[in-house]
Amino acid sequence: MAIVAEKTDKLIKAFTSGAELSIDDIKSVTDSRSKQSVYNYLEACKDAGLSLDIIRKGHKVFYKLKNTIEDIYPLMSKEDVEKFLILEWLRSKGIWKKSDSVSTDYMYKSIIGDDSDNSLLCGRTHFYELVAELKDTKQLMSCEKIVDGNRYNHYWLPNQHEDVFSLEDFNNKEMNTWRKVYSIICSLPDNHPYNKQLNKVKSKLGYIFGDPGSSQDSESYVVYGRAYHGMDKYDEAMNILEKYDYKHRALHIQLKSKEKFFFKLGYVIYAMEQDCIYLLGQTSVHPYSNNKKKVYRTRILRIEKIEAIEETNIDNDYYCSDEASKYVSKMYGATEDTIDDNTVRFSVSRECTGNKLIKLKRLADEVNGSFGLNDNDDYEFCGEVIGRGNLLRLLRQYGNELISINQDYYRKELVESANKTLKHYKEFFDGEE
Amino acid sequence: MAKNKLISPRERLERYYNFVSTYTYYEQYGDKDDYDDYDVMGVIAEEIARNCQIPLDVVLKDLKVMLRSKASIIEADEEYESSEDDGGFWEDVRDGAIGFFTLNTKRFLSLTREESSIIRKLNKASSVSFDNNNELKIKEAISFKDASDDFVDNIYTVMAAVENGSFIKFEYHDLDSNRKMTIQGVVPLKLLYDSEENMYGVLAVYKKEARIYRIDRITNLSVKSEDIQGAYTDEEVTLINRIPYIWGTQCADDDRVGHVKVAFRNVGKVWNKVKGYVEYRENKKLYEKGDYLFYEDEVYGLESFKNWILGFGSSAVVIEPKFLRDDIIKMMEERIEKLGKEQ
Repeated sequence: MAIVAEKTDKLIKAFTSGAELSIDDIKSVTDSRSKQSVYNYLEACKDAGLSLDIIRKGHKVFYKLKNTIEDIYPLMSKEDVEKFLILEWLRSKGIWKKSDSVSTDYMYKSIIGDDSDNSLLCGRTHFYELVAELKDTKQLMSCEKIVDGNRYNHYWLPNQHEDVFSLEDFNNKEMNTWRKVYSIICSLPDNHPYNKQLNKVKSKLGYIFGDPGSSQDSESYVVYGRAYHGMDKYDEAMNILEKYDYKHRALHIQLKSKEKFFFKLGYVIYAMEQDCIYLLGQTSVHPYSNNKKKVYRTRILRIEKIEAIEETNIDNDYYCSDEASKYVSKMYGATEDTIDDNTVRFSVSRECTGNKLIKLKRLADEVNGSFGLNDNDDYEFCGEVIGRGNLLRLLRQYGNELISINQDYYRKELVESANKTLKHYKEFFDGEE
Repeated sequence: MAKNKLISPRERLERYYNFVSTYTYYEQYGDKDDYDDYDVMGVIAEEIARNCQIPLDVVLKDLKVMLRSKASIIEADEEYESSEDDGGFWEDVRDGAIGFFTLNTKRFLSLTREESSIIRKLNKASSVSFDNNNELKIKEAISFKDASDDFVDNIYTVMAAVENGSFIKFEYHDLDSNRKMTIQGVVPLKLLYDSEENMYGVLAVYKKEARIYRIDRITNLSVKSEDIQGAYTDEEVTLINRIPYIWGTQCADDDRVGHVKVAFRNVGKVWNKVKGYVEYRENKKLYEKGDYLFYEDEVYGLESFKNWILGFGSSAVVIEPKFLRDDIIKMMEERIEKLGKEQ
């Protein structure tokens, strides 16, 4: 990849020096043999910010830089650097959360003050202006805190950066591990469910490995299947939740249906099959405090259904707890239906092969269930599954290969669905004729 | 692909800092742990320009501003002292004769919760160690389990073989017989990815027949040294033409491209799901008529298509092809007979 980067750089230099290049010229600059490679290099130039004009001279096509170098790379000012250094300081201190937020004065003293080993030179007024600009451009989050009766603005970095790795502390093994992650990400196709998030990681790692503009290897793919957007809504969901101390306090939630209850958040779940963000937690219509025997139940909520949230002073002992974790481990996707933990046991014909077999193995992996041949030489699954809707959807795909299932609910649903299907076929074709 | 992209000063600073922070220690010296007391040499401007993919002239201007602003990127030998007339210095920096830049601050790779959760999913292959628990969990029946070392190597090898026009040879795990078969002389045409099933395959021609091999069942993959000579054969052209019609990775070589027409009832989120599922289909026809959403397409891989339809239960009515409709009706009757008796 480094060679490709080098050749792209050569081509960028040629364009920025004002050259008009034909396909053959580009082949020669980049030492390419095929036209496709030339187009790949041209795409790489465009990714690097170059906008190219196509000029026709007789039968020949020439490419020329349309915009000036300053259009692509605006001049860097002293303020740009100063603002960047403020952000760098916040990063180095790990100030990613509202609870860790710091005042402008504290930042000024730490970054510019006498105790600082930082050599950034700027006056207090200018420093305050820089912080205000960072806030206005949403590069910093802010809130008001009252200290000794006075109101102060406190700041933290946007986005929840849960994991921060110091590059300086990386040894060769760790560096190679991240290279491997980078290599995996680069091998994935465009319509991968986590493409957007992985591209951000790819870009972060790309700068570290000196390969920031690496071409999308995923162009090698033919893609089909569905598009996923649910994970993109995660930020939206967290913007709502972040206003409350949900990690330590139970919330009082009102749904759009007007249903109200207390809610102790356990985990935020992205369910790929549903392509949605859910909240898993314990709910009760009565406060939990003072009476631990109150009935509660575990529930999965779609965040879009929430109308209003209030923070309570009841402790949240369910957040990332072992109990919550156990629930998560039994979930097959996520559905808002009843959560029961009865063991599901079903068998499918030995004739079942290929992808259908793999899906059942994956189900067993996902919910920590068991899967294998039974005494009748049929395949049998056994496990506790939370997510009736998803399991039904899976089972429907097995048609007549499904031999038996222990729970009445699934049996009834499957038979009813088959009856309905036949009825609809009859209705549809009767109507047509 | 992005066009007229602007590379802002902030983005350039990010690139410079990230690159300089790691390159300085590891590319120059190897493993930091091997050195008790390592001097920082830094990198020259030309290397920064090349690795950060920013033109050298821009890098030089930026470095000037950064040094004058007393930023954390410093000139390692501290030869640079800002002055009105420093042209000579920067000419030498351009030539790489002087000017070794390094960072006098720590640099961090920070991952947001969602990025972190996804990397944890990749973790089986990557072994990144995370200190924190993460409140965001990803639940999926179709997972990253296949992102092993072999899997990624296979993807890159196939990509290279397709680009270079080479034959491939590998061992293939046949699930039906649970045996590994050695297959050689395969002409790979394209990588396939089905996001619905999270399956990766390679569309190929083997013994003049169309094949789709699943990447996760391939081991000991190698590229044969001799390149495929000449233009595509008739079989390969037929297969290439079928690419837009492929559905799933179960297309048998005798499977033909069939016209499908399905009516979906407007129940729950069925219509939205259908629209989402077929977003990538190039030749689809999707239209609402009466109480139904109609989907028409040419499909190669009707077995996979049938499984998809079955997932919709009673919300989908297959109109064409007739044999698929009959097949589904027969399956439903058998299901009622088999499971209905147990009730």
